[in-house]
Amino acid sequence: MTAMGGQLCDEVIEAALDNGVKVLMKPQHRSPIVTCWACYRVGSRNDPQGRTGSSHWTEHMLFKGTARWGKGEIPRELSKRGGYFNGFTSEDETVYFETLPSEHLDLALDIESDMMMNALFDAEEFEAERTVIIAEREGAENQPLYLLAEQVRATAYDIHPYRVPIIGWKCDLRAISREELLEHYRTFYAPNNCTLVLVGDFDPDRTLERAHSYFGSAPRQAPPAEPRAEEPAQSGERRVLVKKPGTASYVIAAFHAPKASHEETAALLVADAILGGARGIGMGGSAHLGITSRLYRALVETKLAVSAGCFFRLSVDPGLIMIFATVRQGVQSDQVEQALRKELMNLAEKPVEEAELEKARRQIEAQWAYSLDGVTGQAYGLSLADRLESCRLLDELRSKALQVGRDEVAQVARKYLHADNMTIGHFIPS
Amino acid sequence: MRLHVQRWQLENGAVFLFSEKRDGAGMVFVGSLPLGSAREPTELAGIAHFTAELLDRGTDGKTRQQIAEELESVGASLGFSAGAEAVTFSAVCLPEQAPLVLRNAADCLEGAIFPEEELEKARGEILTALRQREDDPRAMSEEKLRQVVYPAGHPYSRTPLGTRETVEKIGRQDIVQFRDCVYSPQGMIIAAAGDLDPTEAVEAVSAALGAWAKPSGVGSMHIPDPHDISGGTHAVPMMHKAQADLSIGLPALRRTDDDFYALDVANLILGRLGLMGRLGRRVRDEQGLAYYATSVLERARGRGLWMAKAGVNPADVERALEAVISEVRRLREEGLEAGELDDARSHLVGSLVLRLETNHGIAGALHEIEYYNLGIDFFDRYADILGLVTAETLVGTAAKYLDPDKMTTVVAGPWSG
Repeated sequence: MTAMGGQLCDEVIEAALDNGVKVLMKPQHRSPIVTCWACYRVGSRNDPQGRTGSSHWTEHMLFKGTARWGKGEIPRELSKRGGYFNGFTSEDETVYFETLPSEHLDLALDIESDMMMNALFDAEEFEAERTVIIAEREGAENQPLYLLAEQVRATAYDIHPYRVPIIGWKCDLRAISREELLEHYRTFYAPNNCTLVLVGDFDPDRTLERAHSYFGSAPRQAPPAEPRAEEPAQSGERRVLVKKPGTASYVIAAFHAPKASHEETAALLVADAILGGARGIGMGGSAHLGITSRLYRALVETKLAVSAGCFFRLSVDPGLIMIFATVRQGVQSDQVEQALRKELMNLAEKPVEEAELEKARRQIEAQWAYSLDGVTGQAYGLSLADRLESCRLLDELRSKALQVGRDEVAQVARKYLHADNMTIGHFIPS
Repeated sequence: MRLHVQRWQLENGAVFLFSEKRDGAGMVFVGSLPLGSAREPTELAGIAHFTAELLDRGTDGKTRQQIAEELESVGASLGFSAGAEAVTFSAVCLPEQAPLVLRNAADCLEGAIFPEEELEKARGEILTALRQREDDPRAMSEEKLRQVVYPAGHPYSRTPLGTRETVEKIGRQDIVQFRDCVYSPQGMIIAAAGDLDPTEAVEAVSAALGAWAKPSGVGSMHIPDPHDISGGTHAVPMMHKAQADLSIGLPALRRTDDDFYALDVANLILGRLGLMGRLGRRVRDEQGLAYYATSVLERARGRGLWMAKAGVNPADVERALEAVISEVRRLREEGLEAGELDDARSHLVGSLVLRLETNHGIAGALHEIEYYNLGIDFFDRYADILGLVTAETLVGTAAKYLDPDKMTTVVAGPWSG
């Protein structure tokens, strides 16, 4: 099967400013809308020990006032022009974006450039934001599945910073100083550490000129040091138990997986689709698939679990493929674990049927089409691909996935989805 | 930007709206029938939702897995759910699969057979979902608020999932009887957007859903008006949790009431504009008490909730409550700040083009305009409608509908009062 429909990278114009800002532009004129993304190559993997949560907190601070935009003005100015805006921090990047009527693109460039160069980190605002972030963390702690996932990740990794939660540990959030955070901002918010992604209704030549005028004065900096930790291969199964008051049990199984640019990633994406149903690129628009997936049939149809799914996060460094299940009332979570192990063994020992493989391919293709609906979804895909390797990566993975054969799926299942590479976690309500 | 919309009334009275969008992103269908929990007897609370959950779990000639395989093998999805007012269905597919998806939707609505085995699977899923809700302060906060501000038996007073007691006892015969008595195409709305020629779209919808010819079901949806109450403050102690979730609110008005637009703009200013409006500014930005502090004005055929919500540390509950109430009072008593009304109106008008960009956005918007009988040219008139909202009418509706003395407060989490 070969890829049908458009490539994400179709008609993308790649450029760079003199100071190193990378610019990816994808003009489209279906709607009078444009989306502008500023993507910094910094995430929780870059948070120093003792200052976990720094990247995420820095993201918060950039909305709290810059040299040109006082506190509250950025959300206000974007909202009143009909814009939608947000920011997010992942393990690998921090992203700020606005989607707005195309006549206001200059406002987005103005704001993003000032955020890059002139965030104020006002001392009072910094302290007020400390409790906001702790509140964000405590809201997450109210969810048992979050608590379990956090512990599973912390256990799956010995030394790599992917073991640390993006929001940070609470003790660090209580202790981080404004000076430490400012240092983090100055280190990583360099023009040569940023990619601008623009999709929508704009003229690329004029927009590149405007990007020059807004971002061009930011001085290039020494590239930030990359994390050096290399996670050693896991050599035996790990178990996590989280026992807290609650009303339902959960099981998470995590397996070390290759980085996004690895040659086996495409085959693992197909395995992921077979196990849990293919998913979209990530910003909505996709179909909910998975009822005929192996995990659903093995765990939910058999009345062991009420939900089951699989998630392979594409990452800069070797990441995890994670399987989640909510245990059905009256069932022991160990039963879910046993059924899960058996299903993974099936995938490893027997090549999948051609019909099942064809279904995975068709799902991948369909989800691809749905995900590209709208400029925001496309920009998300381009920014993710660029961060992982190049803006063409997702296109390449999609093409490769459609060529993956039956034996390759079994091969990656044998190599990655086995007990010695697994961290298995149970949330047990006490 | 003008959205080109076409509307048809099908043979059985159902209405179909469609907007063609040719960009390779597939098709989205959304639909509804007035078969929600408002149609169920209280002693069988949850049966509307239970029935909806079972619609795609077996028809004459196809098991659940066979239906799912037919759809998922081509990357299509179809789902059903039930709320207080309606059973809704939604589908995503590539355009060439539209007839297949719509045929399955029709088969499920008309001919679900509710196999006993599937019923028991679904029962366990619903019971587990109810137990999960009991451990979720945000869900319990809102649930308790609804129980207090709406009278017992009111469809907005309870979660459509039902209760553990009622879901345990609903049997197959109850579900068959509910479906046989209540289900009909009367009031069905289907909306779609995407990569199909309009003629093909209406032919596929007509052939599948327009052919359902059943007389009207027994009964109809009636949403009574709740009485205004002063509900006080209620705690739902969950002492093992890290954060308390607050809900403060009361029944407001219907989507179709004349005051809706003014109150909608007031709500935007109060709890949504920018980073969560005035509430976000006061509770999060200035005092650092919460990650989220926002407000919601429900769209409903009856008097839906207006509700402010926030998640705070238990030590800050009183401060957060005081801040929310004082912002509501400030709007009522001091009116608007300079530029607020213009900013809110221009946000609503300007963001329309974003809402109408994707298939999901367009289909949802088309469904809404039909569901509330707003007119096919609603989006062309929207700016003018908002232009009629003045500072006086806005503050007047806040005074009329957002009386803090009539609001009920619920705190769920590690707080006992």
